[in-house]
Amino acid sequence: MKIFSKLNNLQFIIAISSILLAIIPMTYTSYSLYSRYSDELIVNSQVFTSQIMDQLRFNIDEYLRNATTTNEDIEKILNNSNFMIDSTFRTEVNSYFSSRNDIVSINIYDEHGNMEFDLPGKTLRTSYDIQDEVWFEPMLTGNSLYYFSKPHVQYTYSNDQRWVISVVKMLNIGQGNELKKGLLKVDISIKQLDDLCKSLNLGGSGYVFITDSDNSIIYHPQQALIYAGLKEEIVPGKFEQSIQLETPQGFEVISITKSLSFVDWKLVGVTHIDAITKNNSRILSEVLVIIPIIVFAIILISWFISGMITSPIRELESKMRRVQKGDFKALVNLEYGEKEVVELANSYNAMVVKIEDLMRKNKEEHEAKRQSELNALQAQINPHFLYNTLDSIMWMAESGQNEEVVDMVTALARLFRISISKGQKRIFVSEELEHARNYLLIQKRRYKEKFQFHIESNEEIDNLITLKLILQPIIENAIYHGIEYMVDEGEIKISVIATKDKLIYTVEDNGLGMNEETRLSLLHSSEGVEPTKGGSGVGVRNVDERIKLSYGDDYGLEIESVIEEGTTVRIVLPRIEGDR
Amino acid sequence: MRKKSFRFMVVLILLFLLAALLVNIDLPNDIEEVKIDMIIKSKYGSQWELISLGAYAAANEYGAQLAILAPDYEKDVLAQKSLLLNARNESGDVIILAPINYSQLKEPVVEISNHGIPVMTIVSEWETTDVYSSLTSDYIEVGNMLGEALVREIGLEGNIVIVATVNDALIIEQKLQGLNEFLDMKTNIKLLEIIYTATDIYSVERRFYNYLQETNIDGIITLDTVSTIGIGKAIERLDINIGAIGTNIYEDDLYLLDEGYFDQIVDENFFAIGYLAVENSINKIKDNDVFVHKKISAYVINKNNMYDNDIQKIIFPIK
Repeated sequence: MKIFSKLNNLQFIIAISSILLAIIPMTYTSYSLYSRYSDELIVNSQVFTSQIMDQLRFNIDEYLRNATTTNEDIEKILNNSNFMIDSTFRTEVNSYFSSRNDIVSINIYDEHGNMEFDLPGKTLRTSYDIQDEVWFEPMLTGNSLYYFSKPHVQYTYSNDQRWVISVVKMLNIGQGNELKKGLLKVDISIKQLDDLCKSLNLGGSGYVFITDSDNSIIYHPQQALIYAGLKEEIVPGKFEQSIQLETPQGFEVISITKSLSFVDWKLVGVTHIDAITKNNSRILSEVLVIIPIIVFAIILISWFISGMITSPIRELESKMRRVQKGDFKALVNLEYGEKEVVELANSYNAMVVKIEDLMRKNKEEHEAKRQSELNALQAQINPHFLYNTLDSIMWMAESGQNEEVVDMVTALARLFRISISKGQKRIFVSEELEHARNYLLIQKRRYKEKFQFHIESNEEIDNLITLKLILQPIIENAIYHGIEYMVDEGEIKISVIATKDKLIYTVEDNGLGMNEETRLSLLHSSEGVEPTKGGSGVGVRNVDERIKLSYGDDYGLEIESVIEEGTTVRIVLPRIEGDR
Repeated sequence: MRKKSFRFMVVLILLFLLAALLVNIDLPNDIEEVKIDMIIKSKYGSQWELISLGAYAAANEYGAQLAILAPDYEKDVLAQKSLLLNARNESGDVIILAPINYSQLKEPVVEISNHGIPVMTIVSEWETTDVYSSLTSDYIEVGNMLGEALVREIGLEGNIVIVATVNDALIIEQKLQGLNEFLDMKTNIKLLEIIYTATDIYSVERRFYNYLQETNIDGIITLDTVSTIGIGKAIERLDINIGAIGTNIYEDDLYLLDEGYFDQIVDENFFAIGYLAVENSINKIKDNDVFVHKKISAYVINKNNMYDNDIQKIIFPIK
């Protein structure tokens, strides 16, 4: 799944698509071209082989025609010497023989098979009889002008086993004043024919062999192997043709058959397709080396181009993530990119600016609303408390308690001076404690010394900053709910401590305490802030809400109370260092 | 991004340069000609001439480069050893050896094989642990054929002698084995003696000119070319009628068969040995299938069949 997720990105998809789009047609085209090239090469080779086979046919026909010419030349010499095999004839034929190294022997026989003339005059085989030759009678009696033997080992002489073709012609030999029939046999070496066939370029391992009218092999460069059964040769049909076939050795070959015009023989050229297509192997090898390089280059190019296309999109995505986390400064500044992506980025930037503007306005409105609520809550303190205090002062003045009046007025003046605090919402802890002390002094007079109070602090804490007027509502609550109805003297103890990051006021009284319902209603009354009956008019919940509005829900009041034992209120604020 | 683009372009250019380079260099492929060194026992004699002809025919057919080397005379094992070591130094692809002497050539053959040049032997037997392939005539079958030919001439009874030179003891031994097996199992022919002769024709002729006058035998079998020609010439001089069966005759001396001095000759197919040795070597280099040990059949010729259309194609190379 993770892998799929990694692969399922735009750059990968674009790159893979491009690679496939490039490689598939390239591979198909390469294969197709290679196949067509190979086929074309074979076809061309067939044409080429056929052409050189035509040339070979021409050359062999010429070779055989020359053989007949030899017979005609000798016959002419004989005719010139009045058909007599005399010294003149012998001299001329000797010269002729010497000038032709392709002639192995020249023999003239009479109609009874007696040898009348012999060149080169080597030792004759005793077992050889010319009348045993298949052509002897037919040539004497028939109308054939020439007889061509198949290539064979010369067997007229005992120590000369050269391969020859015998060309036989009937002629007239003079005997006295008469002419008698005779046969001229010229053995022509097949070396020239062998050279012609072997020199033919049929692709290195190609070769030519010759078949007769019975489709039997009469010449083959490897005839010693074929006739010893060590090699098989496929002899094609009797007609001229060009075919592809597989040899018994498993080679694919092209076999081209050509008919000689001078004799009823056929030339068969065999070309190994491997030899023809060996250049293909080279091309294939090169292609197999180069294609991976090209594929690698295509992968690089595709990856690079897809990277270029998706890079602005990725940047856009990255900036969007930052916006998602609240960073509205994350604007996209594209140095390059496709037109559509640039337009998308511009729209995105406009959208982010708009959202930021809306958020700012919303925050400002929220802040204004909260400030107005704070102002309204703080304003609630004044009328009730002022009325009650002034009522007490009036009562003391009427009863002539002048000193107490002075103390009360002084305390009230200090109370209001701190309340005003030049309009500031936050004051030093020392000022808040001073404010609480003045309030307690006023209330202690009003309640005729019904309770004692203690305030504990130190110089370090005095210099911390606190939200103002947060102790007074708690003290007011302690007096009206805890101490007012006590029979014994009450006690209110105020202490303040500071931790590393918090400032904690504790207001403890030993009053009547409160039940759980009352305790909860102090903080969670759904009816909002209720001025306490006979109190300053600012409730405990008022303080809690102000703290939470100012510093968040981690701060505020914690109330613990036990019936008949008293109540403890902890006011938790953030620690804020002050600078006097 | 610019830096990345630059690096990318450099890599791309290098790739295309590499591709261009590869297109223009010669990649190794099987178009290169296989270089074969064939070291035979002698430069002279129709046996070696036929082997050479066969070898050249195969080299021409398969497009291989063939060099045939030989000492000046057939017993010069040191010269053959020297040729063998030279062939190793010239780094041919494969060596075909017709060894003159097993024990003296074993060490260089093993060394050359270990050097990475495959060696195959022809004509003489060799342990195929040292060489990758060995090609010989089937000498035991030759022995059998000699026996069959003898029976055709003298029948199932008679006294004979066997003559051989000692050029290659192992070859002679195997021929004798085949011959004795046949004679013992199928005839009552009595072998009077096995005569080992000198290795030149003239000495053999002279010795047997006398021997054949002095000894009354019905038949004689020769196991190699020298003894065959030497004894053929002795019979020619004596003009006697004796069942004579020979082995491997030179082309120039075929008249001994044609004129009836020898009745039958068992001829080994040396052309085929030359051809198949080269073909096998090419297969070895091209990692195709090769034979490890191959024995080639011989054939029997006489004056009646030696010019037959089929036989003449086997025994007379086109020259």
